[in-house]
Amino acid sequence: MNHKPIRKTSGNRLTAMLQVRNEANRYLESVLHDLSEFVDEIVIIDDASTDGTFELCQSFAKVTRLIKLEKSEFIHEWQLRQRLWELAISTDPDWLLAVDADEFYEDLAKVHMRDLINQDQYDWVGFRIYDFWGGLTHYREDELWMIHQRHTRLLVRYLPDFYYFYPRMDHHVPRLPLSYAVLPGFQAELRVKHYGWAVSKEERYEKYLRYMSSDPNGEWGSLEQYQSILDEYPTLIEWKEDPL
Amino acid sequence: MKYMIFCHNGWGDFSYKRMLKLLPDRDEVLVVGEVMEKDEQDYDVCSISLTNMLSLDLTEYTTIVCSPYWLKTVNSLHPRYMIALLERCPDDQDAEMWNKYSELLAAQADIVGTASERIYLEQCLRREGIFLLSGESLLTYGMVNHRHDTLFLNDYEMIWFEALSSMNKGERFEQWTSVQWEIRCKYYVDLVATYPFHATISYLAATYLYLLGRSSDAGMYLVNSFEQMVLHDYLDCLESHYRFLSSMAAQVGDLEKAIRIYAVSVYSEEDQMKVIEMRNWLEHGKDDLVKAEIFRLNEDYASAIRTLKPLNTSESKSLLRDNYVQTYRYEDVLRLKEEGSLSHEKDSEISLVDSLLIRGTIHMLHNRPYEAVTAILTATTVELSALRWLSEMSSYEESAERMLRSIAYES
Repeated sequence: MNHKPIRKTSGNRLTAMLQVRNEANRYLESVLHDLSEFVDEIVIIDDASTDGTFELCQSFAKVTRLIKLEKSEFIHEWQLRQRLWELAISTDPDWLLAVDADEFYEDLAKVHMRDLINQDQYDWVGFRIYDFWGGLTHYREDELWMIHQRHTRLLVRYLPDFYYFYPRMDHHVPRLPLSYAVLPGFQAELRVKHYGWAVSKEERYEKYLRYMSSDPNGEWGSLEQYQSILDEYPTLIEWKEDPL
Repeated sequence: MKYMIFCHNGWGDFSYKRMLKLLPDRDEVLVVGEVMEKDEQDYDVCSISLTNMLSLDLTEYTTIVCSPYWLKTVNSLHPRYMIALLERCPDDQDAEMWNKYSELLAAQADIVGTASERIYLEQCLRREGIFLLSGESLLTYGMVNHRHDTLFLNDYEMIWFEALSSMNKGERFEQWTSVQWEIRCKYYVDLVATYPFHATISYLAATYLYLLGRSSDAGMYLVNSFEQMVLHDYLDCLESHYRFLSSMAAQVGDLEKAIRIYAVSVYSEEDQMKVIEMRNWLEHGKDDLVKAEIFRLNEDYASAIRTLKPLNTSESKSLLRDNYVQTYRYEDVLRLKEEGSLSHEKDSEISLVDSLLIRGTIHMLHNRPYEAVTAILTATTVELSALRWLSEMSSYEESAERMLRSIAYES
């Protein structure tokens, strides 16, 4: 019989999981470099990229599982999430970190990552995500852009016999199974820099068109927020690194 | 067959009047307290005063007891059978005391009925001989002639009638429990097909399938219920929903999985020690102990008791005693102790106090106040906190007397 405790206070292995699509010329390379510093393995699903994303992922030693889909599944996002989850748990991880291809953990978070996972009191950790806007120096903060005001569950303990499920939604599916909500978690005052909006005005406009095209009636998200992507003068706040 | 009804708050509040017409082998039916003349005729019952009732030989009667506060009186009269009808705690009563003594009433009764499905299911996981006295079926399942009336029975009435008939003949009636579970199970499984996203309906379907021993089917409904709870932000369901899966795994005999599922839901050091203890048992081939303990940890004391009863080790007897304590089967606790089968280390000083308190409670409920107080005072010499038992007994006595006074005044 397996006597391994299901929650370990030392020696936990951390696997990062990402779904990516056409990220070769954006932040993916830096993200993978960054993750390689503090995770044990990286698991990636390439959602039918047409650029060099797949090859870029292959070039990182810590990417131990990599699947490229022939046809994009993004229109059924929960299935894509489910597929990534199954791939990630096939690495027999102790903890999983759900990362986007344009997200960076602040240095303080990376320093504390092992402390966060080598304990047996909570099974997930929430972080504050900051939406950088138009560049890498400022983040956006107004009533529609305040994701950093709450915690987002990004780091979870993998418990093999727990029941995991994603809500069967086509868009805006949480990155990690919803069932973690019933387990105790820890809300860390640690930050994640999201560069998805740290792009030019033209690129933001393209993203706006993409959102409007995939969800024209605001069924999965807020139309008001989609519209606010085009705001000329959003409130921006300068990012300050916390000292280590 | 002679029946005697002991209502909680008088005849007016008795909610099973129609059922009286369905009592099998019905001869005389007496109601303690006042009954309106018209009701006496309509329901073919006779009112009897408290004083006159006390002068009767109740060993010939089957008592129908609707309040835990009657327990002391009824016990001391040694009725032929005791039928308990459990009710939710009335607004004007202390819930903790009502619930505890309702458990004691259920434990002492030969058969238990209730119109509350919640109480019914809780009791099904605690003991045998429990029947639901409500339902939704519009079909007729049989008929009974009473004087000039022909009464068409719905499902639960037919089941209750058959179970009581078996009891009167001294026969077993457990088969009717299964019939009722089958009917309730089908009802909820059909309802899930109509309302697939309703957490409670799926949970109830899972529960009845589990009671029927069909855990391999039940899991799917439980998981659906868990999903719906989480999707609707009812997040306090780790123990109520997820952990229930460990009982299902135990029921199908996958004890390793049962322990692992249980382990996911525990965080305290004490509970983690329990996981280690169960793993050790499993390693040493004590599968039944693991199975029973998983049942108990999921509050399925009835299955735990069924599993432990045939075993004959000191460990199994000790676990059996714990389950008896949890289900207020106090006479069984003392019987085990007197058999001298408890030599396990757990059966130490603290259980001496427990057994004295249990003995005191039994004496009190059999109207032996001197013996009750002596037992409890002896317990206080080991543990002073046992004194609170005296205060609880006194509160129970007060509530019982208040009820008796109101009945005496009525009649």
